[in-house]
Amino acid sequence: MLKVTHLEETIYKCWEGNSKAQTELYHLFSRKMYGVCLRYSRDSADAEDILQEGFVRVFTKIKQFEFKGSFEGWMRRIMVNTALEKFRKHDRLYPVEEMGVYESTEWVEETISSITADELIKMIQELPPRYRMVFNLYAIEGYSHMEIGAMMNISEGTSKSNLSRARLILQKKVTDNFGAEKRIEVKVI
Amino acid sequence: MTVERHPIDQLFKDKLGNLEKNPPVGLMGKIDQQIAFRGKVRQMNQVKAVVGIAAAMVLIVMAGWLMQDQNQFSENKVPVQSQKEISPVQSSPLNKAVITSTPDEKLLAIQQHQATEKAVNRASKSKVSVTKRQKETTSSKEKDLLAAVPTGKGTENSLPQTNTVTKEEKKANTASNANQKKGEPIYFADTFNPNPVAKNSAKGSWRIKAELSPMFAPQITGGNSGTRSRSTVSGGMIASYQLNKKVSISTGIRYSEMKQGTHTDYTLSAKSGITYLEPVEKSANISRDVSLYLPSVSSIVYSNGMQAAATNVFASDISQDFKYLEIPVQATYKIVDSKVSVGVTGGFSTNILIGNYASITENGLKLSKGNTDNMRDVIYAGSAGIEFGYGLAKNLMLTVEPRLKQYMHSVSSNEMINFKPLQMGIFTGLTFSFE
Repeated sequence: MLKVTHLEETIYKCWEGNSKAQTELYHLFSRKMYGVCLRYSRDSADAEDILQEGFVRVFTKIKQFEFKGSFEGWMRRIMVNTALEKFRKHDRLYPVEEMGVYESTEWVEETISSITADELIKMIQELPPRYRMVFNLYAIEGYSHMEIGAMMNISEGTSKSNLSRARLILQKKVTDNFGAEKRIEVKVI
Repeated sequence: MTVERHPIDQLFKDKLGNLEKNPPVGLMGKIDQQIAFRGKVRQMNQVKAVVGIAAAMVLIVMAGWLMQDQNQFSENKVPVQSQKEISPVQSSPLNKAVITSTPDEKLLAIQQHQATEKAVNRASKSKVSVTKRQKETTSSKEKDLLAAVPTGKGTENSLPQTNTVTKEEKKANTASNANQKKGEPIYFADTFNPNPVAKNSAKGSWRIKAELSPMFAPQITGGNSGTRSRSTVSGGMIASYQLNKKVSISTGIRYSEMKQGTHTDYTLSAKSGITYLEPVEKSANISRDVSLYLPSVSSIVYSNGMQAAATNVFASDISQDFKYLEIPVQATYKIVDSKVSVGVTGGFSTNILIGNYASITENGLKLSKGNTDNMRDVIYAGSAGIEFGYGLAKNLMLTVEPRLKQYMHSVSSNEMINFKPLQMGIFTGLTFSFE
């Protein structure tokens, strides 16, 4: 396990633009950050772009890290913000699929345990961009709808609506692909 | 209180919350390249900024040098009296001469005064005739050039004072400009227009200008006393009317001051020229440097009517402060009229004395205060300057104008005194224009 003091030393070296320290930092966090980027992107190439831009920002703005919290958390926020910025530039005008929901579902333990992370990533990446962003921010990052609304420049209600619809789409995918005790009914309007 | 999570949320959070995946190979190399590229871009931007600033400074210096070169004639035309011309009669030794003078010395001072006035008159007449001759030379040269230069782009308003300018004459004027650049000193500023493009000027437009400037005057010293001018402030409101694209006339009202101090190491005679209105007033914290020049020294009369004895006033600092309300009438001729405009200004002003204060300070204590005798209530002055304007907005312009102001005759009515101050100011103003 990496010692905090060593991490701090590496960060300080990155302040000075030390390329070895940057490479070390990259190897320490790139796997986790790539996992984050995959969730916010539509495919692996998109995730690679976000990861690259995110690490460039980490290295160029590393002096802004004040050692007041987790460095990993700070990097994670940079990655999420980079993904959000990319979304604002490219994806915000994409049409959102309108759906009506008529019934919920119940899960089977065996079904859940059989689903791999790659399969779930694929499901998320297939979501409409705005649904994907809202679902990631709420369900995995833990932001509130108010915070999401501010970050994405949408209303709190829109955030809730997007989350609800994202859930329904994912539910449908899970039950369609891996079977569930009771199927949900989703109607595309 | 535990909030129950949605099963979908829980599923994805559990499976993807701490997901780790190997990023594509070689991504760190791309990151390094991008960081290096951005560093170069940042450096280039810094270099561009430095080069831009340096280029701007060079351009400003070049423009200033060119303007100075082009305005040389117009400046020479201004009948500003140099300090050397007036110093023999207005400098401090004269005043001392007046204070302690014998009749022969007074006669000599009067003769010097009269000789100086004659010299000034002769110089003025000479300049007028020279101007006429040079205009004639210019006209004949234009005709010669007209014949010599068959083609070339015409320029508008290059001869603004000529109403019937033909196209050929304009061509000739363009050619003459080119010749002038080669070093032929031919034209006056009012017939030579190096930048004929007029963009901002509108005929018939009015302008209101608020201006303010510190005023300086040459230092005067001599003998065992030191007289020096103190910087003052001048400012006011000026209204101007645009006669045509090049010429505008203006008038208004301006406040100005003249302050001078004299440190005297000798005893003033009984006839010193300061009328003390109040008895001795002692006040601490007054610097001995507060001082000025004494233009008229004829008598000392205390407020109780007693005349001062010679021994009553010792070596001291004499301060004199004159406040004027100035009504100027001046003309401006624009040489460059674009975003940055350059113009030559000149005119006359009527100066009404509205304040006359004098005081004597000895050993840091203000002993007496009063006023200076024989000051003229109204005096006239000439002024000349170069006005630089910068358009801040459509109707708003910032102007900076170095200006010389030469009083046309002595500020004192005493025939023995011929003090014609020369002042210089750098007027900064805001001009609002409207139709």
